[in-house]
Amino acid sequence: MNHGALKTKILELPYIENQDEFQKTYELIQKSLTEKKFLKGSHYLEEMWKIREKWARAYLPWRFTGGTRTTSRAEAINSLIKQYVSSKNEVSDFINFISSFEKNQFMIISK
Amino acid sequence: MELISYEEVHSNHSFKIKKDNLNDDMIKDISCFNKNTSVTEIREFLERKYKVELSYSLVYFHFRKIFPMFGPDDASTFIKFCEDNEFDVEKCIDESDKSITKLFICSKLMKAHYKAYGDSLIVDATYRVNKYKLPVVIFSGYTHKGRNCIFGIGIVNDEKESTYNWLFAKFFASHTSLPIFLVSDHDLSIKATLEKSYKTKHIYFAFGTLSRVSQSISTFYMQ
Repeated sequence: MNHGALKTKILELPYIENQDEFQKTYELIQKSLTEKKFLKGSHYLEEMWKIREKWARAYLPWRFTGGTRTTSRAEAINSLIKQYVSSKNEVSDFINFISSFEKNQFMIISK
Repeated sequence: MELISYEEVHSNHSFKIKKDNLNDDMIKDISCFNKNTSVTEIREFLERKYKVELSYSLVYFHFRKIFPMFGPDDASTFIKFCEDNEFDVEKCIDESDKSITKLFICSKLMKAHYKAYGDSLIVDATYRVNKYKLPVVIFSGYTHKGRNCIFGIGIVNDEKESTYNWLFAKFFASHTSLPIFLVSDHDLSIKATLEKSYKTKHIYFAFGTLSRVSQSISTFYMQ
């Protein structure tokens, strides 16, 4: 398999909805990784295969999630905090920021 | 013929003399300043007053002697602020030297948010938010309008399994109800605590479900 084709297959892997299709693509990727002697990558994939019901869409049971599938929302809050507070600030500055954040949020909801 | 001293010559001209040590008068002047004033301001003031040239590091050294960086009143102001604004604060105190090791904060608005939008929960930790190098764990989610909201904040001293156990216990004690779905990083200590103590409580947890996994696989592939 081509390098680019392999990469696109790996990126598509968690989005596959059918279980049989998931298994087939997994085996294909594992085969080509071992052929090209990417042992680190193949070992990592094996480790991920053991806990596949934690990340693959094919094995996730149906639960009400409200649309949360990634931690990107939490990452957005982290970046917002780092705009106001840095490693030079004290903890009392941090709580000041949190209270102002809350007031701002309350204003938006009450409108 | 009278000899003119070196200092007098330079005072007639506009040159400044370099100084290696501060006088007692200078140190007195520094102590008159506020704690939050910048060091460059103080340095400029001293240079103008005494007509000498001072290095930044020297002034900074004496400034920090008078106003130490890790002031003793930081933690007390933090807790006082929380009490004034009706935040709930949970503390974990180390018994050997009686220092605060872990903190959990939760306000009224956070509780109200959790009642309404607490079905799904995202847990993540960040660094470089305070100068004590403590990681900050944020419990977050989002509202019906798609805005981010915070359910609780923990400031902890390490990311071991026991600290996460303590944090989750405090979080679920203050909010009473449990979420349906929980998303976190591929953090092994979070995973271990959830598997041990919250597996039977109808929470399904996943980590960075789609995008994060594909990213990490691709980076490993590139190596």
